[in-house]
Amino acid sequence: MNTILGLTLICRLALGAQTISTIPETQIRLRPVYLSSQQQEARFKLVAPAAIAVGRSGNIYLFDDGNSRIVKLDARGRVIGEFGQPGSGPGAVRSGGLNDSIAVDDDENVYVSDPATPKILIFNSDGTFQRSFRLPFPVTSIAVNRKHEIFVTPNVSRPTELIFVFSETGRFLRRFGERLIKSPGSLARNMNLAVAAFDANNNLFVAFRSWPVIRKYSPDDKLVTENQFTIPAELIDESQRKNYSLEFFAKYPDSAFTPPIITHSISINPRGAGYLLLNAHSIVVFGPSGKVTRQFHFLAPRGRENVFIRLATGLSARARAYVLDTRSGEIYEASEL
Amino acid sequence: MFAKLISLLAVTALFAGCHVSGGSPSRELASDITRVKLNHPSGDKAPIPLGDRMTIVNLFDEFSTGCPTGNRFETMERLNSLRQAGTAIMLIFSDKHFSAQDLENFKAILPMADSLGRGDIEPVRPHLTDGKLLVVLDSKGRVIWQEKAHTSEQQVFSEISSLIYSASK
Repeated sequence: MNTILGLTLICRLALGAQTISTIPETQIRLRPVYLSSQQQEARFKLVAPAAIAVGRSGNIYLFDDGNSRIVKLDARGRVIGEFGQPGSGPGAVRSGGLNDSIAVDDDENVYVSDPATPKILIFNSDGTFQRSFRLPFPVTSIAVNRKHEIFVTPNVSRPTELIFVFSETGRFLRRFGERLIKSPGSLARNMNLAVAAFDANNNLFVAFRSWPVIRKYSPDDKLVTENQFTIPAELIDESQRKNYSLEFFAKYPDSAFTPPIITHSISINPRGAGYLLLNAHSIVVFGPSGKVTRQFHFLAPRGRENVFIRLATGLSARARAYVLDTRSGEIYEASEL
Repeated sequence: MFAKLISLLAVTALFAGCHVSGGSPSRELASDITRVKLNHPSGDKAPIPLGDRMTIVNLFDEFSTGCPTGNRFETMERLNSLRQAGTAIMLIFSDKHFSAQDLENFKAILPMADSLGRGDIEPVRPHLTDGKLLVVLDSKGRVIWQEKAHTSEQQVFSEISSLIYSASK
């Protein structure tokens, strides 16, 4: 019993003491896949694209938020389909902000979380609308496992679990996972925002939007590991360092605080390597256990003009890794990941 | 002239004691809300059940980005925690946009499962703001408070909690 208490204490201490350090700048090759020069015609133009997912076939699915549609590209960046539409009615998707709101399952069905209404819409890979179901909260991320169960991370201020699970027909199944901050409140709400992705073995990896931790949950929803990554020193100033602690957030769950990091997305490749995209220009690489193996800033083709908000890779050997720039609507292949 | 004066007095008397800061309760709304019907598992449809003292009813058609749904649910949960004996709370979702399964999911996920229902809210559609409407009815089903457009959740909570407090005296 004492050992368990001791381990818990060590874990808490480790989480309380964040690693803040400079991280290296690394050149990675970003191969253009879908550039603004390919988007001259209105029908090809992406407007504030919010999310990207890669299917088993290697096709790319984009949630083109500003146009309330899903755009399907092949691996070479050619538009091969579009579906969903603004307005109301079956298959309508409303614009709703930069949520990581698209996932693709093994059969290449496409799941979109409409953050505005909020609801989950399911299309097959050719864009035929299958069904939708409502949610009692907006969500920040959606992931689908090999059983076609749909996992969402809610955006709510009241205390609740971290992850909610629905069947492929939209029936609520279960919820699990502890939030970082259990108090209700607006800051607590922001600190509990999370993104999620599955590996090929149905393990779920979860990263918090503004706290440097990666959790791994087993296929039966048990927490397996919790690993930290480094907060890049240049992103955090002295005043932020002082209050950047779970204790502070729990004590002042409604306070105004701008966290130094934004974890935009999480993705796992078929070999079990995982990637977090941080603050538009940093990548955290982690192994199958969730342990961080590498962390670096990368140089973007247009420097700081590029605002990368998603890094997505698929679970099939054919799937490549892509980064999405929401500002320009451009997509690049990160061939070395 | 005398008849008009009597009518005016009658209307004034009807609304005496109303808390109107959230908007003027309308007679049309009072009439329309009686035509809202709740779906029962048996397939029957029934009017909104009234509390002995007051009933707080939120009708949802579509959720909207401008007014995050979560906030309204949280307001209703906070009001529920203040609820006194004789005060009922109902959250009614349009059966046009929410399926029976959606309602079952909501009951499994949200607190206040017993207060959630699904029904035909078409009669009050003209009164909805941002796809929803919050009203407070007295024991006879008369509207004593009505949500006004762009009212903050804090204001909604503050005004209705005052009504709950007054009714408990």
